[in-house]
Amino acid sequence: MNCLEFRRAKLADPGLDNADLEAHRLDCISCRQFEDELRNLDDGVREAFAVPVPENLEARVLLRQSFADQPGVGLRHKYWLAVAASMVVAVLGSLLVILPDSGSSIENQITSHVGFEERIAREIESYLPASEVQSVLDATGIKAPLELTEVVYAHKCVVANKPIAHLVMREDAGDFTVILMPFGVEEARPFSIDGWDGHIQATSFGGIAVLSERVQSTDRMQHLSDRVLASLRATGD
Amino acid sequence: MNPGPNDMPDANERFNHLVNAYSSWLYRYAYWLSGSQQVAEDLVQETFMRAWRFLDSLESDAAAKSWLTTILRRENARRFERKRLEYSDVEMETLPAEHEEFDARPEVLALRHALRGLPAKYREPLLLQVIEGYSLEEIANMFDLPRNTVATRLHRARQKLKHVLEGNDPGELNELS
Repeated sequence: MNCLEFRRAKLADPGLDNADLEAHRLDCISCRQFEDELRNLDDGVREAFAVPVPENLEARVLLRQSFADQPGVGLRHKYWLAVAASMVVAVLGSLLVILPDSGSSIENQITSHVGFEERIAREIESYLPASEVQSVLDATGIKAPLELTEVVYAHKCVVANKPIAHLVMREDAGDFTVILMPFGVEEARPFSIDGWDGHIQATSFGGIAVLSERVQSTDRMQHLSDRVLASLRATGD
Repeated sequence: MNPGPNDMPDANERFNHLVNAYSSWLYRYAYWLSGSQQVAEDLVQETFMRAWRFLDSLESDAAAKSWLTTILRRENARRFERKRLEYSDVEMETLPAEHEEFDARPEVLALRHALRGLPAKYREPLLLQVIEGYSLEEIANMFDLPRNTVATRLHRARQKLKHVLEGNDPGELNELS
């Protein structure tokens, strides 16, 4: 082995070692020095690559995962899940025919559903990408190009036996909850139920309810509802 | 038939282990891919969400690190696809350096600047080898490149860093691409 071969090998991998490399290293002072320089360079690179990791990164990843569906829904389980879902839908459909209407209003069902999300969302510092929000809407069956950029939480949930998009949005005054429903709402109305103030109204895709656990006027909720819908119209509804 | 996550004692426990073991590494790697702390965290989040969805495709936890690293590289590539930019056309030197307050010793800053000036195709294998101790073969598999190509890239990366740190023109790094 000559100096060129030794240096070429060490430049590609300073940790590489074999009998030929070792023999040359023992015989050649300048290549030993070259190898030391490379090790120092790698030590420096190691220091330069070091970047402080944000506090609670693991907790934020696990928080987001806790809202996600169970894994493995994609591939080989998909067919059987679809079969199982069809059977569940069929059974639920039968029950809905048999059971009398509970009489619970949609706003009652919404306020029963929401609870911990706004509180958990306070720990989230970054907004969700618009694409992720859109994927929740798509999964819910809401056909609307909604460019919402201030969403910190988005999840497909079930209310009144139907899928809804459950969002938590952020503004300077604090977080508020938005429920987008692919089914119609008869008339616009404010509501105050169990400490939640909100407003519900019909949209082109179904309905929207905006509510907050903080003390808010229902006018304020209507204003927020209009603001969300304006972003919908602005994107070509 | 391989066991799916639902056949395992606890998919959540398995996922928690992956997050605790690899999130710091993935964050650092993402930072050096993107040049942004915010983008780095987004990439880590997206990587773990995808990993969670396809956890049953990870057959052995021994392969977890390479698997997660590959997912993160693909997520980063998607980011560029969304922006309609060619990945190889964007180098970190053109991106703003954020939060350089960490370890501001002059020699570290100089090396960090030199690293940022390296094209990604040279910087990435160097990061994987120096920080994580991946072998040439492992990096070649991860990048789907011949071993000799990876060896050449590492060779050139070190040669140029050495050259720059010895006081030569940092602009010469651009000649690498």
